[in-house]
Amino acid sequence: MSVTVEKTGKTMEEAIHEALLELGASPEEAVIEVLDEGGTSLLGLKHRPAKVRVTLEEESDLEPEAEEEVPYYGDGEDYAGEAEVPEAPEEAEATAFIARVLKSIGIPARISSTFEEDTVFIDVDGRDCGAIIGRHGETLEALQYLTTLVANKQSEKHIRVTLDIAGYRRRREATLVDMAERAAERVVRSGKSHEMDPMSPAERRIIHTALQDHPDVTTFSEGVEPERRVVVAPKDT
Amino acid sequence: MKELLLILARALVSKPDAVLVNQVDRGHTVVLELHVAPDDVGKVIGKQGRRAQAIRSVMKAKAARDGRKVIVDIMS
Repeated sequence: MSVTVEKTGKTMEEAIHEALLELGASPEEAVIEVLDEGGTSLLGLKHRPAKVRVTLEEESDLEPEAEEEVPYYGDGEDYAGEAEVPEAPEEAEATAFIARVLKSIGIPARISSTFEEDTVFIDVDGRDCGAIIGRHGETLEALQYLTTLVANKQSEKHIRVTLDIAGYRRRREATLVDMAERAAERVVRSGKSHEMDPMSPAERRIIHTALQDHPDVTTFSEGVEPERRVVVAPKDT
Repeated sequence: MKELLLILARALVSKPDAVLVNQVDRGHTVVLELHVAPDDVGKVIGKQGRRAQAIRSVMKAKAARDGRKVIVDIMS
């Protein structure tokens, strides 16, 4: 299977850069064809944009060594050099699984991972990622859960997996912390408890953590899944 | 469609070679019958069907991209 994109840009370099960005590929692994170098028309009146076609070849075999089939792309700092290749078998298993699933769904993406203590952090980025995030992150949660199972299949200790797709979790976390702070302000002002919307356990944990050191409010959860929600209450002292 | 279900199921079971998927196309809807080794049924269903639910959720994402609906039947 291979993926091809065509891009136009003011200059050839710009068009190539755009195309590579969309494919999540580096120049070495992509085939770049220049369709039109662009430039100024004969009469010097109009600027003609440059046009390129960039193809990323992907191996269709699914079985070989995890290290070889997972595309790792570092950002040059955090994942420089050898750190790009997962050292722990759990990390390799988890990223290989994600790569296989994305390939089968047909979503070209960059996958990067780090392993700290007992948690594998996997970051997926690319176009079209909305399809694997799903409504309210439903598909993302499902994928994270399945990946956790895969990582723990051969592992002796319990491994956590945190999967983020196109920064969704990061953005959502920022939103939740913001909501928590606003709820706390409200409780302080009114002196009354405030019930938040129903959330998943992971999301409730973010709210509890955000307010755990708050001087004037305390938090607890109430209700039965999937309607369980956080209550922010004034501290009674 | 079938390939993705094979990937998901094989990743969870202890006998990946015994995993089989039978695909039945019913117009807009694809019915996928998942067969696994008898001792592996629990591994694709999970406690309170949590694993099955996660599998269906990922399959749904794939089906939506293809403009179709998918039903995953776990055969036992």
